[in-house]
Amino acid sequence: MATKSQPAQAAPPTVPVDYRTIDRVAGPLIFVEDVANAAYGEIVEIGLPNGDRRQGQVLDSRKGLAIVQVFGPTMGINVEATSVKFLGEVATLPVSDEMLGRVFDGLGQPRDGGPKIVSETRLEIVGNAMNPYSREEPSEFIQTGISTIDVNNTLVRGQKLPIFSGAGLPHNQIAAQIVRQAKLRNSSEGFAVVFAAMGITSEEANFFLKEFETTGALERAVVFLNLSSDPSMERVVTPRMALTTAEYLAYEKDLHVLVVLTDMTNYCEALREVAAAREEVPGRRGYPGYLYTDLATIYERAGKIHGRKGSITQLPILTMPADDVTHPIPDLTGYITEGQIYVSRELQRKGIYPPIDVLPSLSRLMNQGIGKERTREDHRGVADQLFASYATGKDQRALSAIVGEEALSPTDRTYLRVADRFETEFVNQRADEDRGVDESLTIAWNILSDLPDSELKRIKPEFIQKYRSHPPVGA
Amino acid sequence: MAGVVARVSGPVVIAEGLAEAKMYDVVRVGSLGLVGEIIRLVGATATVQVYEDTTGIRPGDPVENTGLALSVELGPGLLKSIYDGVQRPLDVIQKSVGDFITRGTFAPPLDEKAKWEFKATAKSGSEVIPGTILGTVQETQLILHKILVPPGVRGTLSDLKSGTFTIRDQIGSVKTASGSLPLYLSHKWVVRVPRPVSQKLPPDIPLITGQRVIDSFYPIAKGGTACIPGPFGSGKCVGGETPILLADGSVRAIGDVHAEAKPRGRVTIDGSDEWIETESPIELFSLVGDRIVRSRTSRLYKGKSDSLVRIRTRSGRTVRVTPIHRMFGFGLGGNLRETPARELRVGEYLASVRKLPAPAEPRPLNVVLAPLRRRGKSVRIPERMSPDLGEFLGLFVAEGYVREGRTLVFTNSEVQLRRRFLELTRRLFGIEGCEEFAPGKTPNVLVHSRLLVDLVDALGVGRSSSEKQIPASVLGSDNESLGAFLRGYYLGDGGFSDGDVEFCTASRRLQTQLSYALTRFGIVSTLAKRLIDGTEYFRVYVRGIANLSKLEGAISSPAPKIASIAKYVASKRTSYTATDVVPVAPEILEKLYREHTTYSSLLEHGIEIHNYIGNLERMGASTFLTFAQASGFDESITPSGMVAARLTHLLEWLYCDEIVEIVEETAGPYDVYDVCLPDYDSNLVGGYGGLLLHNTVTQQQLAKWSDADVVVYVGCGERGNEMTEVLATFPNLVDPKSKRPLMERTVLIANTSNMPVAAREASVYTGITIAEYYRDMGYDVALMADSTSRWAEAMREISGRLEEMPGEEGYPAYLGRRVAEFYERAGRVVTLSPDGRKGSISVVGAVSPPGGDTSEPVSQNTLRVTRVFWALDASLASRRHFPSINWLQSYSLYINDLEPWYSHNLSKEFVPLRQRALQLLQKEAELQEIVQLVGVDALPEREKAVLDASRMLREDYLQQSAYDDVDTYSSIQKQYRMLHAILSFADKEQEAIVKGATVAQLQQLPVRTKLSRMKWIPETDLSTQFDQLELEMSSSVASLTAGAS
Repeated sequence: MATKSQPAQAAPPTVPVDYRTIDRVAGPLIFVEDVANAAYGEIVEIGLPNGDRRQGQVLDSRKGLAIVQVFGPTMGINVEATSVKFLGEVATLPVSDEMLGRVFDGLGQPRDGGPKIVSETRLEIVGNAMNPYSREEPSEFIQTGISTIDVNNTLVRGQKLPIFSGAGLPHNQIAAQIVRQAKLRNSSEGFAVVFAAMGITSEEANFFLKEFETTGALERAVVFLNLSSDPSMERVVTPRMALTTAEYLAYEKDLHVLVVLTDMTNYCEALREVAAAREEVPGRRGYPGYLYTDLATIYERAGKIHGRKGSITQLPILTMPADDVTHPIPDLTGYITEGQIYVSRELQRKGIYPPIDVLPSLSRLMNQGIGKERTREDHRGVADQLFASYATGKDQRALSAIVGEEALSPTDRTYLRVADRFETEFVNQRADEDRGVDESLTIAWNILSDLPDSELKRIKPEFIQKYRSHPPVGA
Repeated sequence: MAGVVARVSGPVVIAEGLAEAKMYDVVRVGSLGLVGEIIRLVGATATVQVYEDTTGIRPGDPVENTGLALSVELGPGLLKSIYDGVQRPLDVIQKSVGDFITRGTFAPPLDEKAKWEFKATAKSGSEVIPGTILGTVQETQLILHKILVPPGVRGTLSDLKSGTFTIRDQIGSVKTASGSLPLYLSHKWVVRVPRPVSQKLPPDIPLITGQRVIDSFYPIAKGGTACIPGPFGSGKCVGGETPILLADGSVRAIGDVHAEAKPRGRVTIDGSDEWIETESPIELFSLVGDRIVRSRTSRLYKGKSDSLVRIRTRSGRTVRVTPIHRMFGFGLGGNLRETPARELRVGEYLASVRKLPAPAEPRPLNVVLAPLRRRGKSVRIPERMSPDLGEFLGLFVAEGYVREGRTLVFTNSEVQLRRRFLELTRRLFGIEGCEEFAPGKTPNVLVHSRLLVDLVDALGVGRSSSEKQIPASVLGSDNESLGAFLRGYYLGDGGFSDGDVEFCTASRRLQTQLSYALTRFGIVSTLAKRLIDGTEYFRVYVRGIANLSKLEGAISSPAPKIASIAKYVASKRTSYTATDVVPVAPEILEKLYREHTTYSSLLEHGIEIHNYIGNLERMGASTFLTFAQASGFDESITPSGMVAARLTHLLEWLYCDEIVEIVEETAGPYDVYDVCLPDYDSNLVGGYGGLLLHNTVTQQQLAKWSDADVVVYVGCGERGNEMTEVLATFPNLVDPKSKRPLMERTVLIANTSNMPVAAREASVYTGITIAEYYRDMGYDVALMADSTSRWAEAMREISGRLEEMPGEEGYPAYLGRRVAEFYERAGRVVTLSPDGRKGSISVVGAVSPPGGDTSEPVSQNTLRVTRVFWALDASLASRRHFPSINWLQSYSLYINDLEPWYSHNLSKEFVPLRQRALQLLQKEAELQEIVQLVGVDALPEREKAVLDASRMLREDYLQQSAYDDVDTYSSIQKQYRMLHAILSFADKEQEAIVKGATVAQLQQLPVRTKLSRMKWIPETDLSTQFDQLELEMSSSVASLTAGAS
């Protein structure tokens, strides 16, 4: 991307020299001595005694010592015979539109048996920060066909909306459904999909690949796969490879790109491994102190730019260890992303799919994407009313468990019913059910109309009059 | 000056060979010239925090020192700008390098080509000082930019001309003592140094935000500080016996104050923590800015602590506090700083009180005694304190006692004194006493009067020597009466020898009170305790010429015992005392001396400076003041000069008391207490915050609507798209007052989370410096910082890279200091200017604690220094109750300060209405607990009505939509009308229920729907619509009850 090219760096050493001065190897790091002036972030090539070649990157450079993080296993590296060559350049990725439909490994090498990508354009994988002034406010509604997302936690183009999930919950199915169904209303423009897998099982990877193949999505997808059996160090670069590709497709090729990153938890653990090997001062739960900044450099690469057609929407997936939302990974993610989709074990146990709990879920950019011109005039009010009524209904449910349903007032009993209907009729839908936003709103009105006008405080009176589907229960 | 890179690790670069590098100098690294700041120096090796990504930097790359600390450029063109954390204009950068910020990019912060129409208002030839208005530039249609003489510049103005200039054109010059200085429309200021002000003012005007829950329930004052969100525990407490001085003059043990307030206040108990919201505020004294003023609190705390730290100072003051209680002390530069008690060391200096503000007049006695006649003559009882009564009580407290419950006895060997007592008794009460002589005994004066005994009791003087104390009515009266008391006491029980005045007492309480009484005159006393024959005697000493002369002035009388003090004072020339010194380090004194004056000029003022910088003698306080005047450093703008200058102001109120003993007592648990001294310690109980909070909406709402003149919004580590929302909405927002774009009075600083971490660290300083600049022009500025947690994390990240020893949770040990320093830059002030302009900076800082756990250090340190707390509540957010500010956990410590404003500008009813609304909501919380157990239907109708009313408050008043055109801003008048409408409906509801109506019927009334739609009543039509609403309310409730009965 021409606009992102850097001014020339300080002149690199003219001819790359092979250093055979490895002092020690510790975890994923090798310490190379007598190096004159390795650049921070410089890419190195490591030649193993058996002829294998591996890549690495400089993490710390001082006179006479460079610390190199090896992408891939350090198995087979020895101190005497391994050579290290400093390439004088930072990590780059060759990009072209031929990448669509291809599957790569975590370092961007083909994994599908196809040819290497040859391209004039090589981009640095560590992107520069987007100028906040150049950002365009995301405002285009993406219809996912899932009611709880479309109505309550609307996704808009350029947003980053993570899925907070736990082990054993159907986050992959939800992500696949979103990829399959996502579209702009009244527009046939499709999405290109960039899919980056970090440390997921081959079973999960196969699920996605099969899903992409059967729906034809693979033709407009670029897949980076780092499986749980692959070297964990690759995971540190995988999301950056994916996002560099996405930026190319979005800002040079004018495509709307949906980036799925799964599973961010594995990425963070790889980062922790590097930090531990470097003997850094650990932050919370052993994760490095710069975890927030590091995650930000990934998540913040979502967005739209004034005057460019394409956009990047991110859908990172992370599994919360022990469903703990205060764990540093979901916690820090929540501070960077614009909301979250919260997958609930409670709803899953009730047999509701998709088990999205709307109460802790949030889309911070929702208001920009909904309303009269974009979805429907009553959208905001209905969404707020659903939240409020469901929350009240859940309270009544807890209360009725103690005092019995008979002790509730008639209004409270109506709320109880509204909460039940909300879960079974509104949240619940088939994995292949693609609901339009109008349809979702109609279902919502059908449930809300059980309540009298005076309880529908979040909705403007004229809309109640216009959209109420039936008189309130008991009236 | 050029050096080379020796090591690179992330944003930290170590450079070698930088000659003459100073801390915080800005350097440029590598061939790209990446901007960085020196944050550590070891010899010629400098550690540099680089504001940009360092990828590609290698050892051997050049490093160039600019020799300047990180500064911002201040001048016309700031408004409407969008900067990153180091004041690079993002819009200009976009034009020059594109949509992504490439490294090493530089652009001038202010447009150098823009022409400004400058109207000179100052006259050439006039004397100017910092803050003098030279002239004005219409920066935007909303803001008239006043061009000021920069801090530190004074002299004669010359060649000032009106005309059209760029910021690089010279507009005039000032002839200063050190030569002629050119003047421009702009100047630079170092961001980490606060701009000097003349004086801080109390916060007594609210910042109107248009947000109902804020303006009417938890307001922030102009110049105030607020924190969103997060509750917190407490722990900064003192032992129960600790005396505190109340503004009415009484000295009370904090434990007693607590016990007394408890039955009448609102008590909250949480485990061993106990909070009391008192019925009426308790008046105390607090240090605000540079002076001690009266302050008020209505929150008391009691808890447990396993250990206490006892601290004793050279002047004999002692206190027992919890180990984490912060004490005010002095740093090396004479700067006031707070240190947790357990970190204090013997030899450090604490801030003791030198002087207290005095009441203007004598206090009424408010004593009601049974009318008595004495031998047919009526006995007069004075209505208020007076010098005579003061002296009478002083004599009595010193040498008197009550005999057999009906006679006052005054024992003294001096005939003059006995006559004086008789004379005072006659003059004050119209009673004649008599003298009693017995062989071998000291003569007595006897006054037989049950009434006088009753009076002595009612005033709380105490009948015997161990019970005696200074009555609150004396301590709460003007200095003349108090001085007369001290005169009486001194003549009775005091002594003077070898330059020491000594007061002797048998009770520790009296000793403490005497010391406070002396403090009223600015007299520093020393306390001591002595054991004589198994009885403890407590002494108060007054030493040193300055103190003695003040004492002599306070109690002046021709009595020989006092005249001898005057004689002694007159005989001495120097006023040096060994205890009243300033703990400014010799190095700092030397710096001040070298920068500002010469040896000989100091010697003329009697200061042999080498005594203090060479011989390490501590400089006395009065010498220090002379030094300040002689050298003029009190007008300096160097950091050390400004710190020292502040100390000269502080010395009027405080003195520096050396710690001589620190003992930790660990035989706990102890009961510990705290009064929330709102002006420097505001710790209150709270609940919990949460992860899923939408705190930016509240802040942006504040930025949009607050009636500040200028808004500075610092997006620190914010989400890119959310910052875009700010960037996209601000230019389209219309100022509600002027109908002009809001951007015309806004400066935005955007440093999103993926932008370099070091610039994030700098961004809050850049913001507040710009805010200070507009404040200096006399504007009210609101600064929003979102989020300070991200700022603290940036500090932590850099500290980690520097391999500093981490403090709590990995944050650097200096976190608390940095946070406090930042908020201290808020305030309503009299600016440094000839016309005494007033301006203010209100700071609203967001904290986003990890996992919503506000016991973490950033929240804790923030809550310690801010006075308003808006507790954002995750459960409200998930219910879509916006703004999600919890009405039970939030607080504003400004409400008492602001009450006069509300009464005067809105209605006397407003504050009581607010109080009632809060009570209703509190009552609701209690009723909800019952409902949880028995269901709503089990409640009586009256209580159902309470639930109904509080629900109206929550849903129809507190909830406010940021997205609705009308509801987004409620004027304070509208808030008043709405609150009034809801509460009068609540009253009518209760009345109707008494007459037999049910809540269900009342809820059916059509007027209820209108009430719930009140928020959409337009501002233009307030009074008609609300009048009509209230009428309809009355008539429909009336017709309901008519039908029912």
